[in-house]
This record gives sequence, C-alpha cells and structure tokens, in this order.
Amino acid sequence: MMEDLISTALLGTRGGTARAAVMPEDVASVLPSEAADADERLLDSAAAMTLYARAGVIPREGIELPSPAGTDQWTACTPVAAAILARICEEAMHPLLLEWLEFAARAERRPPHWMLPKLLDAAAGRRALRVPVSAIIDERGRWLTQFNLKWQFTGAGDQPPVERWQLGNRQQRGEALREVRACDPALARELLARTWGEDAAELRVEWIECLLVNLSDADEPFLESCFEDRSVRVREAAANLLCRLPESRFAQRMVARVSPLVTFRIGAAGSVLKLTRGKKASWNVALPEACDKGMLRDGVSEKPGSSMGPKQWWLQQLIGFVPLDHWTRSTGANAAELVGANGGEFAAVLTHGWLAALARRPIAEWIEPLMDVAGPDVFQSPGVLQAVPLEARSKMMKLLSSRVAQNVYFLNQLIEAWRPLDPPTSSQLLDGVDLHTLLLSEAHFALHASSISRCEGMLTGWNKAGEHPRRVDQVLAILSMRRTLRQEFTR
Amino acid sequence: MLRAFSSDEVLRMAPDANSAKSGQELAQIRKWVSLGSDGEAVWGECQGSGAKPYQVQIALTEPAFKCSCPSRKFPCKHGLGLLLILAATPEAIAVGLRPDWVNDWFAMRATKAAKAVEGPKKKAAASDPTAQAKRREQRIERANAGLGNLSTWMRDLVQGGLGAVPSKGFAFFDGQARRMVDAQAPGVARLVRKLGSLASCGAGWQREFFEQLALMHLLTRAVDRFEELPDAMRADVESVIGVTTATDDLAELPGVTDRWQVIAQETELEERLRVQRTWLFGVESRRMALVLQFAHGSARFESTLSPGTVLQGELVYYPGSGQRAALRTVTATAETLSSLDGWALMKDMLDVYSAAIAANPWIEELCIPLKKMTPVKQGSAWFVLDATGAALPAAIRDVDGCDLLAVSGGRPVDLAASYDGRALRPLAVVAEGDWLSLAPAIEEATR
Repeated sequence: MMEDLISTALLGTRGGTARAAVMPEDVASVLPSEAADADERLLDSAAAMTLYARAGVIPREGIELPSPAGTDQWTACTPVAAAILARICEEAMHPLLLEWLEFAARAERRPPHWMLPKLLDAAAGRRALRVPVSAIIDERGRWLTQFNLKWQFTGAGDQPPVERWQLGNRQQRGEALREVRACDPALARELLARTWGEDAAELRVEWIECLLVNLSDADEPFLESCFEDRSVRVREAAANLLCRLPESRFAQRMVARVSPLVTFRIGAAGSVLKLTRGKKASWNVALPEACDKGMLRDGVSEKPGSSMGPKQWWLQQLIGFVPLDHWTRSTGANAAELVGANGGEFAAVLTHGWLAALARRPIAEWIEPLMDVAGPDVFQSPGVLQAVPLEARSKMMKLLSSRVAQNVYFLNQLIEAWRPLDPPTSSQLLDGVDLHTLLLSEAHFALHASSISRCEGMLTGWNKAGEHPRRVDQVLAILSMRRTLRQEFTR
Repeated sequence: MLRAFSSDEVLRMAPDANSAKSGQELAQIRKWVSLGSDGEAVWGECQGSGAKPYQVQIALTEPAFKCSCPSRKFPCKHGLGLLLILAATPEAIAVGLRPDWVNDWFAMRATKAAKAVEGPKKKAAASDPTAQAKRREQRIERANAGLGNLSTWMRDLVQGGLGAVPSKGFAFFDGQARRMVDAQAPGVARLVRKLGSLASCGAGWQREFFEQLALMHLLTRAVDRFEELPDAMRADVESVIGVTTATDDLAELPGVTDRWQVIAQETELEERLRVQRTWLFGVESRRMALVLQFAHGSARFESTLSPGTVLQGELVYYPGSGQRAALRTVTATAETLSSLDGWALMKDMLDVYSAAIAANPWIEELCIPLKKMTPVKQGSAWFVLDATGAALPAAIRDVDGCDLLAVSGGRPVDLAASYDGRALRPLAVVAEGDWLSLAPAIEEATR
C-alpha cells in the first residue's frame, strides 16, 4: 500500500496515469472526500499511511537472547579506583595501567563493567596488556569479548603468527617471529629461513636479533652459516649471538685466537708478617700480527674507528667476542682479581674488550669490577643493567648516584631495567638524585610505594621555586594516584 | 550539616573530560590558600598562575558555583576541585564564618531570587494580551503565505516524480529553506533542509523522503484550516512552524511540581552553538519533559542539570502536547538514580508513542524511560527486548552498544530511549544501580 504510493510518487503524477491506491478502510475514512488533484490526493494518502504505520508498529517476536554472562568471581573495585582507571585509560598512561592491573589481580578485585570495553580496546592496541587485562576482566569481560573480533586475542580475531609473519609489515613480522620463537624455537628458525633470500640486510639483522629469545646450541649451525652473508652487519649480529654460546665453533675459534696472545700471571701472596710485599697479579699481552680472512669472516673489522693502532683494535675485538666465563674458568681467578690485575700498557684494550663481551652476554660478577675501572660506561647496553642482581641494586644505585643525578636518559634506562624498584633502591635513588632530573624522568612510575610520600614532599617543597609547574603537577598527580590505588586495593 | 556530594557525583557535574581531570588535580589541599565552610556554603582560595588566588564559592543547596577565574566553563575546575576536597577530605575544610566576598555573593543571589518570584507577575501585568495575540496572528498569516509557496513547491516535486530528486543538489533545497526563513517559518526551513539531507542518504532514501514530504504536506493542510484546530494542536503547529513562545507567555502558564529524574542528556554542536537536551521524568506526574539549553562557544549553560540525579521543583510545559518544558524553580537533591521507573512492556511504550503522534503528528522523536529491557546484538543489527520477548530494532553505534552490553551482561537493564516510530535510540542506561550515558560526548575545544 505504502509501496504503491511510493512507486507512484517516484514516477510523478503529471502523466495522469496514476491509479488510485487501495487504502485500508481506517485510512480511507480520514482522507478528504472532496475531489482533489492527483498530487494532493497522493500526498494526503501518504501522510495518513505514514502515521498509520508508525502508530501501529507491532513489536517483533522471536529474537534470540544470548546466554547471559556468568556471575563474576571477584567483587568490583572501589569507585575511586574505578575513576583512576578511567583517567589512566583516557590519558593512555600505560605504566600506571600495568600497575593498576597488577593491584587488581593481587587483590582479586575487578574493574567496573562500564570500563571493560575501554580496557579491552587498550589491550587490543597493545600486546603487552593482553595477558594482564585478560587476567582481571572476570566472567563479564570474557562474555563481552564475543561481540568484538578485536577483543578475541586468542581467537579468530587475531591472525595466527605464521600468517602475520608472511603478510605483516616489518613490526608485525618481528612480533610474530618473537612469539613463535617463545614457544617453538625450531619453527621460528624455519620461518626465518623461508624468506631469508628475499629479505633486505636490515631485516635479516632484525630477524637474527629475534633469535635471542630461547637461544640455544640448536641455533648454532644456522648462525654459523650467517658468516657467509655478504652484509657485515648480518655477520656481526650472528657473532653477537654466537658468543653467548660458549660451546659454539665460533666461541671456540675466538678462544683459540686469544689464548696464545693474552695470558694471566697469578700474583704471589706477601708474607704473613708483611715483611715482603706481595706481587700483584698481571696480564701478559701480545698483539695479533694480522687480521686474517678467518677473522674477517667472523665479524672482526679491519680498520679501527678511533686513533687506536690496528693491532690493538683487532685484539680488543677478539677479546670482546670471547665469553667472559672463559677467563674465570681458564685461570681459576674470580672476576675482581682478573680485572684488578695489572694490564700494563694494554690495560685499556683489555678493559674495552671485556666491556664489549659484558654487553654481549652480561655476567653479574663482572659488572662491579669493570665499573671500578670503566665507570658507568659498563652500562652501555641495557642488558647489563638487567643483569645486576636484585640484592646488588641499591648499592649500584649509590655507586651510580653522580651519573644518575644529572642524566635523565641514563636514569630512565636504569628504571626501565629495574622496574619496579625495591624499597632500598628507591630510597637510594631519592638520596642521590637531582630533583630536576627526577622530575623529567619516569621515576614516578617506578618508585616503590614506601618512597612515594617522601618524593611528594621533595617535589612539593621544590615547587615553591615555581619551575616546570605543569610537570610538577603531573608528576604529583601520578604519585598521588599510585598512593591512592594502594590504599583502595588494600581495603 | 554539610551536604556531601560523592566524588562520583562531582565528576558528573564536570562540563567535559578536561575539566574533570583538572578538577581532580586541584583536589589537593596544598593547592589551596584557604578553605572554609559554614554548612550551607563552602569557599576557598586557590593559587592559580596569577598573583592573586582565585576565589571560589559554592552554595551547596543547588549546588551553585561562582569563581573569580576567567574560565567560561561551568562549573570551572576550581569549583570541581573544591567539591572533590569536600567529598574526600571534609576534615581539611575549616568550619567558620563567611568572609565578605562570600557574603556579597549570597546577598546578591537572595536579591535575584526575590526578583525572580516577583518579576514575572509585574511583567505579565505590563504586557497587553490583545497586542500579543495580534502579533502571533500576524506571524501565522505571514507563515501561511510562505507555506502556500511550499505547497506549490511540493506538488511540483510530486508531479515531476521523486526519481529526479537526488540529482537536484543542495541548492534546490537550500533555496526553498531560505524562502521559509524569509516567511518567518524557521521550523519549516529546518524540515526542508532535513528533506534535502534525506535525498542524499543513498540506498533506500525513497521511503524516508516521501514520508517526510507527506508529513510536511500535512502541515500545510493544518495551517490552511488553522482556525478550526483545537487549541493544543494550534500550539503544536505554531511550534513546528517555529513561532516561538515568549518567556512572558510561559510565565502565565501553570507549572508542574514534581521530583524530576534527570534520565538522559545530550549535547550537540550546531556551528558555534552548543545545544543541550536534557530529558526529565516526573516521578509523580509520570510525564517526560525536555529542557533545552543553549550556549555560544565555550560559554556555560545557565543551569547545571546533572544527569543521573533527581531534581525537585517546578517546571512549566510549553503550550501544546509536546515534551518541551522550561525550568521554573528547580533545585538539586542528594538522590541519584539507581533504577528507572519506566514502561516495562514494548506494547505499552508503543501505545504512549501512538497517543503522542495522534495528538501531534509532527513529533520527530519521543524520549521514554523503559524498565527491564535486554539489549541484543545480532550480527550487525541491534534490538531491545522486553521480558515477554517483544523486540524493537535499536539505532545504536557499535561503540555505545558495547558499553551497553558491558553493563547489561545479557540481562535486563533500565533504559532512557528515544523512539521515532522506527527504531529505539538508547540515550542512557541504568544497570546495577549506576547511571551511564550512551549519547556520544562532544569534546569541548580547550582554550
């Protein structure tokens, strides 16, 4: 009926061919009875029919209800904790979000239901959030994921890593490779080999670096084959990994090259009565005569970058490729004794070689002795920071205080590696740090709860000077949120 | 006794997300030079970037805010910060006598309130009812001439066939809309523009376009026989045409006193003008009321109407059968919405809608509170079901729909929804004792 009217209207009434549509009796009875023009009659009928239809809508039946969500296991967090969560998500404060999620998981409290879509969205955008978000969304959250493919982190919404490796962009491929590597190292090697011939050198370097996850002797043949690669950087990347495998042919070759050149002479103890002075342990160092083809193939570069002599440069690189534990094992001395021994005119070559080896494969025992001679340069590689054992961190923080005090970049590296800071390390940081540096760093996200009030006090006092008022406010707000969260989740 | 607002309530008063954030930052006692209260008022001095601290004061009864800061947001971040302190750490606020600057403001408010009570009566006495009626008549006559022109234009369209409409372009409709503005029928001009936008909607435009055209034709019919119409319908026709009701005329009308639940709110940006629609539901009268407020740029709305709360006081409905109303004397209460006492059956809700369009066929949509309704997503389509399984399609963006599903969990919830005869548009949901907006928020430009 309405359809008839519409088709008449589409064609137009001018031709006079329009036939009168049949109206329901109720509608026909309200239409003006006097003869009108075809166009007026059509519009009258359409108005009546439109209202007739709108007034007479009949609800649909038979829409299937989804099975409702199960009852949540946990109780909801407090409204204050919820308000903080909303703010964290809105301003994308990811370190704080992680802390919120940890608090919630530990206290077994869930977010309010209205925050679930925002949390799931955040986790869909950042892989690192997926596990902690999945852990706290409870029954309602798990039920909700069926309505959005992006929220199905383990289901059909997410391409399997093998597909992402084949089709993704550079970043996605790297992520996929690391994921595969974490659960099936051999498959990762296989994937990598499939596209090896097509990927640019830059990508090959990146893929090799992905193999650091779950690195084992099984990777040795592949990495060894990389020495045939035409790119120096690929060969270097392979060498970096191989020197983490003391049993590898590569490590053995390096040891064989260095052993005849660098020998350790054990010191003699002085007499008990100290009548004769002890003779200090020392190193006997000879320089390599040439940089042969084998060395070049193994990633040694021929031309020194600095004003250093080429032979010293070759030796320094060779030492850098020798796993540090070779020295302790072959001499029976500990790291402190080895670093403390007299290196004579080549002391700097030894130190820099060891620093390179430490950066490639950090060993906790070597960090402090090398810091004594080389200072904070020990920490050029973030891996070295991570290797500092928990119990040594506050002491290390103290030793580093002059460096930390002025260097925001270094402080942030340190925080990134040691997060979350334990109580003594946090307190040590506040003892030594320059407030300006502290303010510009990310320390407020990592400080241990026991140091938060003190840090607030320091910044509030300093704030009177009126420098960086916005940043002070921002940092104080974050500290206050962290303190509040702690209270809210222990109620 | 201090009227305590919870932090949650305070944050809802914030005009936008930015203000809420800044308010939270200011909810730290060290930011304040002084803080005081006497139970009815709370005040404080907040150190801003200038030398002199901003003086903030709040009358807790409404609450009403005043601040010496230059912000045009309302309430400003200082007001919010002060209320948040009151909510979280009331012990930090000293109880004492009002300083002069607080006394001044309260005295001014008292004078204003007294004027508001006397004012309308005096004015009403001054205005001449006959002259007013005459002015309205003239406007209807002029609009009538304009609508005659519209009628010809519409008949031309139908004679030529609607098939040619999508190719006519923007200017065709805009020109006709301008003629309607000239004829002092701005409401009709808006309908013509809407018609133009329906024509460019793509597939399936024909039905919507034709229905809209037919209802506009019905309007010209109504204006032709204006004298024969009953009073209520005349008022409706006038309001559709855009003949505004003067504030003085409203003052003559009897008000409705009730407890008003603020069940939904929506703010739209039209050019630089912000239009805020607030839907109230009278607990006793069981009648909906729509209050419109306008503000230019970042200026504040005149009254703070916090959605999810309950107001007490008197509204006055505009003449006619519509929901539109104006605030008369309304104050906030401590009560928040934990459920909606709305219609629980779709068929009852549809009866209310049918009655409404029977009285006023030009109603574009009607907001109605619904009780125990289950939202359902099927493929890409949304539905709302009552307890008997009767369903209506829902017009809902996926992002809002996910919020709705999250709080419902597949179980019945209370909804404030708008219905246009085709689909329900949920504006807000009340679930597990909490009110949540589903209307898209407009982000205010930060200054």
